Amino acid sequence: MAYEDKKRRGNESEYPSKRSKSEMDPSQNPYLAHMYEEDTGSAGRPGKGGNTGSILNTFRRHQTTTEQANKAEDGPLNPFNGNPLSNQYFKILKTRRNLPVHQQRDEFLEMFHSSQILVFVGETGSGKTTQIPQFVLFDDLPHLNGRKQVACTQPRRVAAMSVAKRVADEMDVQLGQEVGYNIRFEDKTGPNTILKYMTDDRYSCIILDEAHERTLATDILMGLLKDVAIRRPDLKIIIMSATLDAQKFQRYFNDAPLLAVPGRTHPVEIFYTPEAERDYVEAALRTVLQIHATEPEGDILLFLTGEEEIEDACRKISLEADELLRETDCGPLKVYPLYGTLPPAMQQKIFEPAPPPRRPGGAPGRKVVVSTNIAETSLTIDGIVYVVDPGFSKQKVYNPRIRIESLLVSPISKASAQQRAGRAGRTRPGKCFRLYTEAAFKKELIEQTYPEILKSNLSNTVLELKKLGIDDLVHFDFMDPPAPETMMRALEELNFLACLDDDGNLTALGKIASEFPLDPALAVMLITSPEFFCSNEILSITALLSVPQIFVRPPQARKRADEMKQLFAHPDGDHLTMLNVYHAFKSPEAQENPSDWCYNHFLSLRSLQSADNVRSQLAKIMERNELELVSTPFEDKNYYTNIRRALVSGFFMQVAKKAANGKQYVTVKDNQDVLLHPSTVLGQESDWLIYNEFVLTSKNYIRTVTQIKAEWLLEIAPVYYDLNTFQKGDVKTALQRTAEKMKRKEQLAGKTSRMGNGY
Amino acid sequence: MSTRKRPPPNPLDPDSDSDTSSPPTSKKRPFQQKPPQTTTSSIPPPPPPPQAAAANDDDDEDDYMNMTIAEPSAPETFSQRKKRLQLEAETRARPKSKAELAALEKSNREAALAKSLLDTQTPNKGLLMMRKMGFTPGTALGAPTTTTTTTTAARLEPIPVTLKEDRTGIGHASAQRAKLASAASSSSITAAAAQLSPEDYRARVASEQEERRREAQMVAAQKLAEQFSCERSGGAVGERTVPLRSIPVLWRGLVKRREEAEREKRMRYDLLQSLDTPRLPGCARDCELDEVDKAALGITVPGLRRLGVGAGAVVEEDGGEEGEEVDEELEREEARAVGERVVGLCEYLRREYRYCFWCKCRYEDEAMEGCPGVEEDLHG
Repeated sequence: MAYEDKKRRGNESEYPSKRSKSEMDPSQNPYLAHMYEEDTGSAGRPGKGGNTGSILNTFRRHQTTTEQANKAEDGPLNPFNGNPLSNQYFKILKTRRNLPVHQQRDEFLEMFHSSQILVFVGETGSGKTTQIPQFVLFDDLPHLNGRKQVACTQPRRVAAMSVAKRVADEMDVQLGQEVGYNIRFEDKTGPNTILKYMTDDRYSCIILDEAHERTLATDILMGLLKDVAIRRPDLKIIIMSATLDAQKFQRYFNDAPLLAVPGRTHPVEIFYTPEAERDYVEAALRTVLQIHATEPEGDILLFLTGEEEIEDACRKISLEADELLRETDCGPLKVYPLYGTLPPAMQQKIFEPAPPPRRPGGAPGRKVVVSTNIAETSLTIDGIVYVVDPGFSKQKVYNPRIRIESLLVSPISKASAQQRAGRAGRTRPGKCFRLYTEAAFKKELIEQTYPEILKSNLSNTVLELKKLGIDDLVHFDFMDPPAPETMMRALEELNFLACLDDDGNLTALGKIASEFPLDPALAVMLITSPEFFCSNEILSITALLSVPQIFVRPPQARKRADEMKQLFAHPDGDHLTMLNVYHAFKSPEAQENPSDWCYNHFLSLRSLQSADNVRSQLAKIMERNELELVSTPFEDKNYYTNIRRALVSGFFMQVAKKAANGKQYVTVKDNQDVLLHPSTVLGQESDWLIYNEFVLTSKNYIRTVTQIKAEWLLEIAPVYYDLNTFQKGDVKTALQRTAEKMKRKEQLAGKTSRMGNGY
Repeated sequence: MSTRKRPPPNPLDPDSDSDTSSPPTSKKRPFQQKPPQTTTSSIPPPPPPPQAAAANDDDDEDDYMNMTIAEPSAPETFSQRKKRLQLEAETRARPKSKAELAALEKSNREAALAKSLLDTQTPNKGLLMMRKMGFTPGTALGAPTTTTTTTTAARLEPIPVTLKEDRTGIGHASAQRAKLASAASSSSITAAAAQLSPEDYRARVASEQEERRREAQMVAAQKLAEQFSCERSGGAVGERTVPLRSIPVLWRGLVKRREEAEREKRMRYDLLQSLDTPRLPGCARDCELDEVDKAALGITVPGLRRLGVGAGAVVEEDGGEEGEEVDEELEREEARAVGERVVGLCEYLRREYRYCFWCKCRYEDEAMEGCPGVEEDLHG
């Protein structure tokens, strides 16, 4: 299995020793001798199965020039696989050579030769993601050096897939051969792969793309690479970033050299409001309509925060624009929403051209895209000339004190505001309307968006680092160190899950848990599920929890959608309801025409299919770790009880108890008042619940819940439910009562068994 | 009443112990227990009726009054405690309203968010592990600072969770705060309020209340005086026939203020009218219309002229006889203390109309027999 291979390699060669041993000169280490061979060797040796006739064999590794590379690229044979190059290839080659980044290929190679770590700055559209890895291929010649590969990390799976496809086309090779990708739950690479695009949760790579996005994995990767670079002088690292905050990267990598390629952008004029806005949504709508009524041709991009707000704004803009069209000689206006959960077909609509004028020679039509911050970096829409920026976005936040993880509407950063403004200048000079004052921009916005590492639960990251042999997490060289309390919670959580012992060492369970690309709680639940005779079912539930929402609830058909959901409802809660859905989805009846079946039942086919895919990937990992897939017979009265008990084995730290009166619940240990999320399915009054998420919207909510029994908590997680560690209160009293009841029962059972023995 | 319901003394209860050990207080107990509501609520006992007050001033009632005041410091008796506990239990058991629950949830959340995990008494296993890695509470994570790679100060606390509950734009909240702060500092209320002791506060509130009461009395007296004078001259109240200056200074201020308020109201009405009136196409300003157009469009408000002090009078008054010149007499009058002015008005009413403001009646004879005097206090 690909994961395993890579991991092994990762453990044995790339991270050969724990940090404590790093003082030793790595080149003296006999186990690492193979890494230093190339330094003494002159020309690249023909590798196994290499294309011996290729022009590349005459290249000297890390001494090539642009001229040489151009010659190799000109063909007529593909330098990597010896096949004749197609017409399509030459057509693409022509456009590639026009990209800004190509002008500086010489400069790039020079720096690449002279430095181990290089920071590269190129704005979106400079061609860095597709071109730089190819420049590296022609110079690094990984296929001629036996076991090597060039890897390029991407923050998003979709990007890794689409970029790999594009580069495979550019190089005239098949995707999955010389060029491939490897993302969570999917590996499309082969033995010939020399360039691999990957999501950055796998740590064996040299080109770090979109580093400015500062995802959790990017940050960890940078910390690791910085350390690895010391021990592997042959390893080259390129950090690619789209913003000029690159100095921070430079400093972090011990003042690595920096190369900047200009993007192709036009000037953008920025306007501020004279006074702070009372209602930013209303102000945004007003501004959009004003632009439409008064500004020359060009499309509008409006940034709002979430699905509901965006749909609402779209409706209002359409209505007002129709009014304008009737009353004045304005052109027609087309409004498109854009957010992550929008189906892909709907997302594609934003690329449709603006509507034509109503009559020939009339005022030109215009399109408005109302988007979340996806349109800030990930997506480029041509034709945008006006940007309206109210200055908010939904941002993830994690707080270890009450263990809350939520998306909250928050002010954006200055960097983000600049990025938004830049979107107006993609095709021609544009205008950006900021719905706040210049003073507020200067005073109230933070410089940079917080990197994800400061806004996430780190239990998964800590487990990953532990697995890689990083013992001292306190002094790990984070670019932005997380808050101590966040680390503390992560360690504590892993300890309660028995993944780490009291000294912070990885346990056997922890080692297996780290094999799964899952949150530790889910991984532990999955690993222990065979003990509850329901690993098949827990596997399905885990897969369902790892994909986007499977229930669809369109605003125009809420009632019908809810009725459909009721068909699958299980009185014990949401986890079992989801399981019911999955089982129904796998039935022959549904599989006959899954797309129709899903549509009729208000379910997301995409989510269910990817759950299916995730399930089979996880099953393979379970198999490798010799975890059995078993089920309790469905007729057995304990079928669902076993599943609920298995859920407790992973989620015993996410439990809520019903409050004395009313509908409220109280979270165990953190003592937060919470309400059941309106989407919850729960057939009966239940005193104790496990929950998958604790979210904050206008109120505290727990989402995806299943009812359990207090006895199970004491029985399955006795360490966490050590009553001496509980604060005085309702929860403690209830648990104490349960404990006494259990004791009495035990005594009674003991007595009867003794009696039985006596007779 | 509550004494009857009292359960037999409980030997374990400290309150019932004190029952037997302190005979002097036991005599007063029935009184102490009688009005439990006086201990819990802050409503003062109703003042005795004025006639009875003088007679009862001496013995019993005085005692009664003293006792209610002294009560909070007396030890809580058994039945009081029982009542209090019952009340508290009732408060707890009462289902809370949604707003109360939301507020509770919020304050609970904010309290928890404000409390660092590093401060907990129970040893946290995560913290113990970090200690073993060389962590000292109060410091940040990350590479030792000697490497100088971390330039900005590393985080000591998690990023705060702030819930945006409205749709105000960026900078709106701070702009509002700034506005409030400048308003507060200009009147310097906040600074004074911050240093005020409870006694000062109570004294101030009392004096303000007294002031308001006096002012209300003064206005009432002014209105009476005006009414009497109108009755005498045969005019209707509110329709002035004489120049403002000829009105006695004692209530001239009242008339002046009323007319100012009326004028303001009228002006606002005119403004609204002019905004609402349809305009001729291409004609941007009312001043370009002549009288006929205005009449046709209904811009001029017909009611205006009918009033004695109509649109014309407004102009006249603004630029003419009374508005511009300072009415020194009135100013002097208004600068006097309210109390003095009330006395002045009372004297005037007595003198002119044989009316006592405190007795609220007119006397037939000059001597005003039966009225205790000019002062309010004399009227009990």
